[in-house]
Amino acid sequence: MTQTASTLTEHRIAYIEGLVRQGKAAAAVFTQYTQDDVDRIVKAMVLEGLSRAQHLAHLAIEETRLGVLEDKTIKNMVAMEFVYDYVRDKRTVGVIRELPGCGLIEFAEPVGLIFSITPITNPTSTVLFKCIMAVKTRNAAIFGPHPKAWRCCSEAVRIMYETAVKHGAPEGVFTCLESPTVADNVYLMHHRDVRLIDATGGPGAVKAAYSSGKPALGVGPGNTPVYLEKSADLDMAVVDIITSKTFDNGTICASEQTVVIDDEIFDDVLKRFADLGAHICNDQETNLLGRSLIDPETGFMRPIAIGQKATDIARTIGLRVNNGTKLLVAPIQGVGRQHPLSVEKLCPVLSIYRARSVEEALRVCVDVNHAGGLGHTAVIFSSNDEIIRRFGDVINAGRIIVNSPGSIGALGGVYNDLVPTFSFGCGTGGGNSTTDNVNVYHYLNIKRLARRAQAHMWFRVPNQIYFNRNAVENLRQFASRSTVIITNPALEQIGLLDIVRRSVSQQAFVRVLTIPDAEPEVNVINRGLETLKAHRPDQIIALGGGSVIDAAKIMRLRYESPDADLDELAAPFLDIRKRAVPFPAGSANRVRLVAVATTSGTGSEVTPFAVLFDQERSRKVTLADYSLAPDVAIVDPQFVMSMPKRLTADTGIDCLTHALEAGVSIFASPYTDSNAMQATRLVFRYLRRAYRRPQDEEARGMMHNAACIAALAFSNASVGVNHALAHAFGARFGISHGKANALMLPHVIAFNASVPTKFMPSPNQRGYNAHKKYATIADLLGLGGHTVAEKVQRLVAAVEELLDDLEFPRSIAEMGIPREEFDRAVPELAITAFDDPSWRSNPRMPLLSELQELLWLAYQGRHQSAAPESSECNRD
Amino acid sequence: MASNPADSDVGGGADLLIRDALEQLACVKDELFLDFSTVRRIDPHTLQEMDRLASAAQDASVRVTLRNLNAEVYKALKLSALAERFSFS
Repeated sequence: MTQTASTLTEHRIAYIEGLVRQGKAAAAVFTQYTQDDVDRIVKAMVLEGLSRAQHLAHLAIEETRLGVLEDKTIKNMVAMEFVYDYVRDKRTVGVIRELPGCGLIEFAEPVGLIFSITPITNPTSTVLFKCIMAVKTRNAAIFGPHPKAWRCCSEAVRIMYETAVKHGAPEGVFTCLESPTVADNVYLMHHRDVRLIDATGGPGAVKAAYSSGKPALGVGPGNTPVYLEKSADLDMAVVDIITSKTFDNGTICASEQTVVIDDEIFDDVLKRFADLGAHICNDQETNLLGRSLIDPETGFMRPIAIGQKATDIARTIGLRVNNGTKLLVAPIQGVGRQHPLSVEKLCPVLSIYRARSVEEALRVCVDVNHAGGLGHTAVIFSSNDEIIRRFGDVINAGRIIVNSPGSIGALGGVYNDLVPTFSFGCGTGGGNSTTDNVNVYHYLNIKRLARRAQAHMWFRVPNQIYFNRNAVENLRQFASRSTVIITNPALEQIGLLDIVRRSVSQQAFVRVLTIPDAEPEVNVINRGLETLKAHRPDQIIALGGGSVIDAAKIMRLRYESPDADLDELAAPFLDIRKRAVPFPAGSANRVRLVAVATTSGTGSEVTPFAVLFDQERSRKVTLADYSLAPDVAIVDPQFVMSMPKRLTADTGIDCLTHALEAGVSIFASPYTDSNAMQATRLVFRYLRRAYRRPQDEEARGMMHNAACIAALAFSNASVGVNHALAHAFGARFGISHGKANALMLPHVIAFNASVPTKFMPSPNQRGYNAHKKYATIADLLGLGGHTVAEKVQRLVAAVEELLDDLEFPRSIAEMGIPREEFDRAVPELAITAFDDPSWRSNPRMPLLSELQELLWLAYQGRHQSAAPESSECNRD
Repeated sequence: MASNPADSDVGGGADLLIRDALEQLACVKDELFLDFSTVRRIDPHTLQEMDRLASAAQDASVRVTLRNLNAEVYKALKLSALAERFSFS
């Protein structure tokens, strides 16, 4: 009949409540202890435990009638000495680990009161082990021993408790149930003041622990397969297996159960077993063992043989063996119910299986593993590393012991560097929460203190930038065998291509590839790629505006990395350094890419961006990576002297938008700020002149510099919500990029200068400072104003005045777009803008509703921007 | 109202403080202040005594306020569900 907590008498409940009360108080008080306190107590407990090891082994044998006195003594000593060796220097109180490089500090927090179930097979050693663990971690424990081992366990608890309290541990830190029952366990498992259940025992106790709804460490039975592979050292292997399987009469659940032996060595191995004192059973004897030891109803072993000597087992079941027989070895032909001895046998009875191939051996080991041993322990003897690794891969065991005894090997610290334990986690395969050798860290809550990280910032620019008139002549210094110049027909016609050709090294063989003056399409890239393959250039010169330079960037990428998947490389990302799809690493002998800019806006000559139009799927593909950036930029005003007036205004405002957005970006740094501010200053000083007097070479040159300098800023700080919105409605209504930016710019400045509805997570920034940075820009421009709010207002006004002087429309409405059409488009435009990666560096996170509001402000026109003076952000 | 500073240390020092407080309960009106500034640590016995004090104070309708309690001792009170039975300042 299943026992439940409801079967407990009032008296029994009062008794258990008393234990809980003591444990709870002790756990509470224990939290005040220092590392030195617990280390002092643990040391005293270990010394006492070592001195009482044999005494406790005697008690265990006397009460349980299982195992071997000498081995139990050793187990008790291992539980003290080896466990202590592992934990003595471990920090388990307060700060336990500091990772200064990551800004992390780990603190230990005790779990509280633990209900600890211990088994009949390793009673006192498990108690000793768990007492050390509890004190080392400042926890209290109530022990629930196996009902047939509670007296010896109670004595072990008493010894540990008295020693601990004598050396300062809180009273009540350990208690042990007297005459424990399953009902006691159920009651405690569900008690609200028990914080953790640590159940080492049979499957019933483990399952009950996990079913209680409490955090539990439940570790249960095993069925250890052993692969004895033909390359193994047989002298060592056979002795190790006998040592392990006979240790404490096979009561350790990690001990060997079925040894799968390669055919080539099978007979030799059997002879060695026999020579060393094992009895090799014939078929009838194997059947007798199976019938006697294994219950055919349940398929599990009967209690009669657990922890008994081989000779005693033989005598009990009527099997004739020599005196001094250590081990009964039973050949089996398979795994499963038809082969009863293929399950766990906690006694000196070992199954063996003859395997005709490595594959068969591994299959049978997997079968044994799945016949009750999932997650527990497995053993392999082999000198073939490949087979050892395959075994490790196919077997599901928390401990895979190589060339050593399973039981002692799994305990850790003797034959290997596994963590010493008396509690083997079996993972999900065994219905457990861990595959670890349970130790002190499982008795702790680890708290992590994470300091704000100092973000790693960067400022990456092309190797060389040449500027001012005739800067193009610097091309001559670059040695080249073969140069391909990529340009568009219009630039060829007005003679700019000739200027470049004349400047290229005389030694270079020069080819020209002309492409359309539009966003590069996939077929254009493919055609260019064929040209590059045919001429194998060591230098590519892109002569043109953003489209031509972008095309050249992508052609070089495809030429150098033919397998690059542009769709994958265009995958969205939040942080260029953590992107899911990295760009191919550039080779040491990269083709030099020189960009000669013929417009003053995009800054593509220095940026790591390139836009491709995928005509087949009707969409833009944006690539971003510093490997795309040209190696050399030529910023020579003679190439922009013929820019049309409208293009001058559009590209100039694009440049201003780059500078202002980079200036307030969450990725802004002192390096990008200096560029953003200087670019802004140059635009305000020279754009009007360049617009009004196209032949003003100084103005043209300075605007050309401004575009490049702004690009240096936004290449490293990125842009913002202005670009996201401009991309969306510019594409929808066929408005040029510069004009779309201009229509948004005053509204976005006001938006960013006010208190955000939603802040952007920005570890690089300390507080919200967009409004202050706009004010600084206003100061730089000499706009006056006393407060931040006034300065921001004046900056907005100055931008509006500039836009008027450049004859930009004041509203989207002015562009002739009907209100109804715009109204229908706005919801989708907001969604498109929100999908645009540009805003992710914006200082203020835009809500979809705010994007819609901004679009409407731009539709209605300037001078209607939200008044920034009402905003909290505009305080000084 | 009474204030009762104590010269206490680890464990038992606080017991004296609590014993005095128990004696004063009968003559205190409304509120009793206990100065825990010198109590570095408490033990299970102290917890029991504090439980007793809390019950007695409740019976006497007196609020017991612990002053200058360190966070470690406060945490022990919190874990043993005693913190809510006292006031702190």
